[in-house]
Amino acid sequence: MERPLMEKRRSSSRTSIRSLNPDILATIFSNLDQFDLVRCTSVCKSWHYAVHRSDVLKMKFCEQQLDGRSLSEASSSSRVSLKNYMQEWAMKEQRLSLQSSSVDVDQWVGHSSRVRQCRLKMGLILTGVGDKVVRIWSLQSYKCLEEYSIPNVASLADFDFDENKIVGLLGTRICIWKRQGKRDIFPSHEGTFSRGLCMRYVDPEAVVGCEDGSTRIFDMYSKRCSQIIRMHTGPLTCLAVTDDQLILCGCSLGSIKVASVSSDRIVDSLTPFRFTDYLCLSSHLIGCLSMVLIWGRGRSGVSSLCFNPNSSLVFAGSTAGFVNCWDLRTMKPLWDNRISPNVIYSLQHLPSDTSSLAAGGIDGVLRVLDQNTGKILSSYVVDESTARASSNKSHSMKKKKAVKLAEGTSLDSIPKTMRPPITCLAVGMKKVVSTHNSNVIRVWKFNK
Amino acid sequence: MSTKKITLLSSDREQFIVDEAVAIQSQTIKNLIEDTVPDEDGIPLPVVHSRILAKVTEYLTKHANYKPHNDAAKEELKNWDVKFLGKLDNNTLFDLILAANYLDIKGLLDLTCQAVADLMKGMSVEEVRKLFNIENDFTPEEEEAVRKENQWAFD
Repeated sequence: MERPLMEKRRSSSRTSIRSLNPDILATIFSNLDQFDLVRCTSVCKSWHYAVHRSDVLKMKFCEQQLDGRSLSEASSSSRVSLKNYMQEWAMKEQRLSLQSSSVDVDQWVGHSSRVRQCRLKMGLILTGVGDKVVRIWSLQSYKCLEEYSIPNVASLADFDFDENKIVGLLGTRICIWKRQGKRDIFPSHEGTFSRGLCMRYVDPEAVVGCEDGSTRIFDMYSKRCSQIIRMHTGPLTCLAVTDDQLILCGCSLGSIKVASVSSDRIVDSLTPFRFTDYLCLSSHLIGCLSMVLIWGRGRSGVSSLCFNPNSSLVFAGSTAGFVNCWDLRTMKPLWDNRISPNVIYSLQHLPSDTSSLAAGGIDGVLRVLDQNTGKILSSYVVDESTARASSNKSHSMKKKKAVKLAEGTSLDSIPKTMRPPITCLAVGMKKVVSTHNSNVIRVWKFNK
Repeated sequence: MSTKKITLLSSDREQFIVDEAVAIQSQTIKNLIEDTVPDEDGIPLPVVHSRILAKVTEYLTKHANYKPHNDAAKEELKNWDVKFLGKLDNNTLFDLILAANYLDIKGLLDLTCQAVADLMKGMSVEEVRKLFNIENDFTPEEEEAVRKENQWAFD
């Protein structure tokens, strides 16, 4: 008789998850929700294979989407459309959750002084601007994972990050911190250009919006300024850069102008919907993938900008509380809505979401707008009475609840302590991170 | 219910004597009883060690004798399952999955697969790797590509 296989295996190494064949793995995976399942695909190659070869993934995502169609119809679809299903499903979840009436707010002291800005990418939060350090936190545990110091001479005006580096704007210089590596600052001297107020980058270029109304484009590898475009006499307050090299810019004087990098000059002007006589930009200029700048000639300054590459929509917040939207393909305004009596500092959405837009500003209310109509879907403030200290005492962690405001709630009826100004937002899946020009960082978690 | 006894023989040749009704919850054993002439020592199960077969028969005995008729009974059986799983370490859990798969015991396979899934619920990719001691065999570029495909699941 055959001698025991199990015993042999046991004596060499114990049974592990690697002993399971793809069919069994698929049975295990069928018990997971969509989020856990998608994460499993990046654990290792055999898991990626097990998830994709079986119909588990398809079933999980199709059952919500079917709406009467047969499963065989859905299963015959290709992997590309499965990806679409998954995306569609996820964005639907996102939209629903951002209107939830059950929202937990976790808050902790992240810095010793005030922080104004935050970014969120791949489960990591970047905070800083205002303090002498920038920090990277785990979105899951809120543990500080990395810290980078800012040279004493300058203060940080703007920043962004990716897997390999953090790029910051230090007055008149750009600083690149290699993640877990050394720091690099250029140009070598300060004052080679007018003070920068905002900065965005798409490898290999970083674009700086300056106080004197010019934009400067730097090659981050040669560390040289490759182009200067004089846009306006007023300070540039906000920038948006797209992967295909489109650059959008807002100005404190509020006018909107359009420029093309290839022609190196302003090519047109454009005003918000609210104000008459806007001009359409001929769309071939956009087609040539040149740099485009949009300026507004409104009665208020542009205080925030956001570009959605999936829908080609541009969103701009103003100092008077307006949010305007244009379609970048046609350059036509789509909608506008005055969502607040005061400055809108931040407009953000999930990279692949073409439905919901989070907005925050000086009035401290977190609002969620419909990207396609501008309608307010939900509004939240934090209920301070629910605050309780968390067991995580390492950085004064507090847990609170948010209150969803009823439509038409008067701002004056909400105490200011419940709505500290929102200076920056970053949007994740069913989560929003916010900073408030104080030392705390908040994570808003939207439950179902 | 038949009270005929069946002898099961583990890989290390330990005998387990159970009621036929208990044993035939395993489709594999049922087929073996029907199709083969039994070994005089019992039905050989060459890939299931006695340590695991003891667990399997414990599960089968409980479930054969316990056909729940009402919610309270169902609840009781569920609680028993939870206790049964609670006593297992991860390696035994995987051994049980392999045994349930080989013996074709749907209830046990579902139960143990659910238990493994529960272990990794809400975990990050790194935590799952650590939990199951899985080596990341993606190149950094491959991993980035896989993650970017569904970035929404990671933010």
